[in-house]
Amino acid sequence: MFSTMSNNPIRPLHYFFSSLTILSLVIPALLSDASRQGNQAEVNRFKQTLARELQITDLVLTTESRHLRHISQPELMAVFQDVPGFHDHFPGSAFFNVYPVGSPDSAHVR
Amino acid sequence: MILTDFHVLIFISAELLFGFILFRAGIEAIRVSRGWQPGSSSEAQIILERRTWLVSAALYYLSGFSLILLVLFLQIINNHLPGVIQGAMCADGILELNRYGYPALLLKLAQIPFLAFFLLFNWLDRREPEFPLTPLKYYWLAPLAIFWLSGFLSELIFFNQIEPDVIASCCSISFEAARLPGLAVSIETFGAVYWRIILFFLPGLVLLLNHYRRYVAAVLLSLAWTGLSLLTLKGYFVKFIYARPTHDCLYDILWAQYYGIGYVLYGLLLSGLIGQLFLLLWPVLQRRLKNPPLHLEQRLRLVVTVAQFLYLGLIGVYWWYWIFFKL
Amino acid sequence: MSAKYGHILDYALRGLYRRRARNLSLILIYAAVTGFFASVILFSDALRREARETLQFAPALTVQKLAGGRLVPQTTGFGDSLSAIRGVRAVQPRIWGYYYDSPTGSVFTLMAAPGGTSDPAFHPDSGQIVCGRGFMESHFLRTGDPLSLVLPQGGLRTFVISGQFEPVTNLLSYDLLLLHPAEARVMLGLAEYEVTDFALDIPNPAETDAIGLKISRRFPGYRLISRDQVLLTYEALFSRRGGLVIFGGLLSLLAFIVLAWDRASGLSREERRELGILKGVGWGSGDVLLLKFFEALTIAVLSSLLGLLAALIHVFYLGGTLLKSLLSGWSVLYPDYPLNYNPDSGSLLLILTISVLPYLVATLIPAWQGAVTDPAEIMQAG
Repeated sequence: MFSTMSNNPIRPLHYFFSSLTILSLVIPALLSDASRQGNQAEVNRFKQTLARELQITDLVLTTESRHLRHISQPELMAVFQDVPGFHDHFPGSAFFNVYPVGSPDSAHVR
Repeated sequence: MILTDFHVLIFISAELLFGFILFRAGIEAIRVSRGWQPGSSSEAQIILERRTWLVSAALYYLSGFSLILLVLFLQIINNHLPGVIQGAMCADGILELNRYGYPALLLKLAQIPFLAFFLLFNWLDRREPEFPLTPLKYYWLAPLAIFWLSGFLSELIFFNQIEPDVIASCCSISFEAARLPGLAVSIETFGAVYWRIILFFLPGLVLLLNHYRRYVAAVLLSLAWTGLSLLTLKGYFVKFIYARPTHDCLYDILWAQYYGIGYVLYGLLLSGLIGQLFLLLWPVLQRRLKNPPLHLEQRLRLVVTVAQFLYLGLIGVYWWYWIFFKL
Repeated sequence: MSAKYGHILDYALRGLYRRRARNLSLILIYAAVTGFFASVILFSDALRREARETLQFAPALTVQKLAGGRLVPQTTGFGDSLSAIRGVRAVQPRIWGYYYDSPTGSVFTLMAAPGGTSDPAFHPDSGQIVCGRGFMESHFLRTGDPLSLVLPQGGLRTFVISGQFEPVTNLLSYDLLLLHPAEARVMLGLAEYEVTDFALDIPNPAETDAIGLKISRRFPGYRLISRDQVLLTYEALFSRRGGLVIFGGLLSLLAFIVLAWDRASGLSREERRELGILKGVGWGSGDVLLLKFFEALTIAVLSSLLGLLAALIHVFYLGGTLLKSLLSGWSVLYPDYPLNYNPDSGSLLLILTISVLPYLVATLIPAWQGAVTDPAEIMQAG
């Protein structure tokens, strides 16, 4: 039964194993390439020098609001920010499209 | 409250999948063991025989899942959470965070022998047309279910009670004061020469006892040897793996930077123990089987001995490498 | 014995290939679900690692003055009292704040270059400014161009752009404007003797808590932020955001499992016939179960690897575009940062677990139902 089947020119088993091999080769290659991007060790050293020199405390993930820009440094005018990493007091902000009233300054700085 | 962490969340979901299959297999197993009539060819018996296929397939899945879940759990407590919890450097600091940590790990480990027993019983059972072990093999599911459920609950409470603000004590601190409960012997003591001699000498004795089919004594000795292996590993041999004389952590050897040698070492200890426990059951089982596999007993003895000596060989390689080439 | 497994695997793959149109659509949907999960996990892990690696150089202790619960400037003289504390190696005054840029409508972080022995690249002279990429790109500027900033009391001051931060540091410097301390004070409306806060350098991390306690006892009304708190903030932030998305993702996974289960239990006529013939020619229930297991495993592994590949491309080559916009929220200036990736076996295992296991579970019971059916029954029905 099997011997007659293996005469079939279509060999999905081989397709399967070759595509699996290619996938499992491509993924690590991609990984190592992604980690090689711009010589990672040097890039890291560069970043760390910058962080140390400028005494940086926060990452630029968003410039949405001051409390998210410097999330570990709660700021003046922001509500009830007594601890770094305070609990989000606008949990609905993910669902409501609020836009700032008045001049852009009132929404952002003062 | 660390259940919102997605590593933990995914782990818990995978545990639920495990529980679902176990529950489904358990129901079928109960049905089968209540109505099983060996040798009968009634309609009900044929239906029950079909149900046994689901239980076996489910248990094969569960064995695979339990190993994956164990590695995942170790990965979370050993690699992931030490980054989240300040002050904890490896799994020891994390597990010590509250009193559900170690029970969760131990209950997870305890499930593996039962799965192994079921698989072996199932294999022996399926070899013969009368299914001589059929209701019997399902009894392993009861302790498995109890261990899974209590382990799952401890994991939930353990993860839920972790407060990321709590500064965990580092493992080096907890190990300085590490003592055997009740015995008040320092871990360091187990680095002493005579403990090492006993460690290397015991597997030979186990081999001898197995040869003369003194399985009860062999099991007791194997258990003692496994305990001694862990203590001497912690107190002495682990330093040669880390190449640092002050570091004695049992979890860091699972890290990739030590080539995950810990998985191999603990795997050998566990498989030796499981093989030895199965040998203890073997004389009882043999009587129930019409056509027992020829070399199973010898092979099980071989598994035990190879696992124990391979373990000694591996830690010995690290040790001798340092003694002869570096010092 | 092992040849039997090979033949069953071969047969399973042939079967999948014969029904390729149906299986391909399944694999694509499955890969999309996995890709979604994997993106979230890889993205959050990369950011988490980034925060851990760079913010370990954050100040050991930041001392800020509060008045009425709000942050107020401090005098430089207070730094001397802080440096007198035993265990503190150096006290670095920090001058920083925000600058609202009306042409783009976005807010930038304005900072004074700290003094002391350090890299000249980060130290603009008087009349010079070093800009982050975000400012340069949004204003179409180049190094050497003049740049006018609006003073708080009105009027303009012109600087020469003496340099810009490398794009690889975007995660730290995208919205930064770096000025000479005297000019930064003018731009932020601080007096000559005022600073925003102080960063303490404490060589022995074990002493941080004791020093913090001492400061808060001696100088009440000051707020202290330790490096550990900063790091924990970032760990908690990403795990929470990631957790919320995964909660949603678990529901979509559940929907997919139901789909897969439903699909697997509704055997088509041809499939039933095939099973009947197999059992008729002598396949046991165990063989059919193994066949179904191989089919499920093939689909699960292929789809998971495809999804993982898609996620890797999305996160590390396309910069995680879909997820970054979630973090950016209402930002006017969208931060653009490359992410480093160190292959983390834990995350990969996590992704494969959550994508392979559910499919195996979903197909187990339908496979069993198919495997134990009586061949005669099937043939009669078909």
